[in-house]
Amino acid sequence: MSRETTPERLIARLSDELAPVRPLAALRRQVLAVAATGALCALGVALWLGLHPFDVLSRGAFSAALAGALALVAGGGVLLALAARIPGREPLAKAAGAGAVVGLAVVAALCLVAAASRGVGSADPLVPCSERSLFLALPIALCVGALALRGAPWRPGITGLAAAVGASAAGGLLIHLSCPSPSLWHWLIAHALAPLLVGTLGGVGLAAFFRRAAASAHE
Amino acid sequence: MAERRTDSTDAERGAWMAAAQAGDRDAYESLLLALLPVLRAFVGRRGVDASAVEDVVQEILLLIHRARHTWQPGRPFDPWMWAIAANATIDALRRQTRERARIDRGRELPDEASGDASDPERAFLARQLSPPLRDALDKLPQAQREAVQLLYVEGLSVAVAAERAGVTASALKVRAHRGSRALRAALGGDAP
Repeated sequence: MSRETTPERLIARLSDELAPVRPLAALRRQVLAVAATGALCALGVALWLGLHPFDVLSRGAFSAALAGALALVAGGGVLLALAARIPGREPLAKAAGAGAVVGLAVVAALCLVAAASRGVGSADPLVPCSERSLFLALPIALCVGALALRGAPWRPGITGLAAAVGASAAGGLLIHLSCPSPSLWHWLIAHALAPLLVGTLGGVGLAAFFRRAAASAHE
Repeated sequence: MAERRTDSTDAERGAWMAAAQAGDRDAYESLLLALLPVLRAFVGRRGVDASAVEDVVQEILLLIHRARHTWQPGRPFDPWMWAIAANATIDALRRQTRERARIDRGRELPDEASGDASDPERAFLARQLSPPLRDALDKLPQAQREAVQLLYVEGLSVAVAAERAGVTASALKVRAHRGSRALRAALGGDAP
């Protein structure tokens, strides 16, 4: 970073070089854009596989808790990714991050519950649901990533990770709402653990992308 | 031209920033000049070394410039600005802590720094660590400055420094040699 002799000279240069900018969309609008993308994905799932949101509740507390946990991770992750890139919205970003962590903790607790339970059923084929979860996560991640990219060029790590994990949880949630399997392990692995794991790995890549974008913004 | 004031309110600063987002240079200059004393006081209070306050203030101004599109008209200006200032100041304090630790480590090895005849550049730079050296370093071409910093300031091995700089070991050594020769000349040492 080149240094001006004094801040006053820097101010004169920055003022001379000033170009008009389009202000970032309000956070509320950004969230609505992501929600609209998620709704489109849900519509696609409804047409493709059929959505059965009430089945999730009727299949018992475990299924409902998993759906709630995935919703927490999805909402918290997406909100964290967006708010972390807007200076002054740190309190909201922290609250969103805390929500996502609680969601992840619930998923971990459900793993323990499933491990201690008998009669959890055999795991139905895992790959199709895992793939569908990730397929659905992709447009959501792209939407969040594109919005976050317009934000302040900082916090690339947390932004990338939160965007990818949040999107993968959203994909897993949509599949959980459509999957007829009665197996706890199938729900846990195919709808939660596999998407979250791949989402975390994708988040590392997304974070590297944001880091490069931030570095180029500093040049 | 916009009035130059330093006692502006949040609403006025917001209005200036809104105008700056639309390309009003006078409003932008008024805004940044109004922020200057506030930022200096803020950075000074946070424990940044007095010699580094102006640098950190400049970093904050640059961050404000790069992130100016992220302020949303209609929202308060000050929380946005304080978030940027706090972020840059925390980064500066971390760098300061690392730098002090590095200097402390260097003090623990006085013989190596001053008496190693096989490494004259390192001994020379170790004796000269001072603001003039920093200024002279800043004036070096980027490639030479990087090589000198990695090898002699950070004390990395040639292999590690070359890997970090993305060049071959011999290229790094050439750059470091040229850089240290230029530094010696700039500081009035034994120029070749």
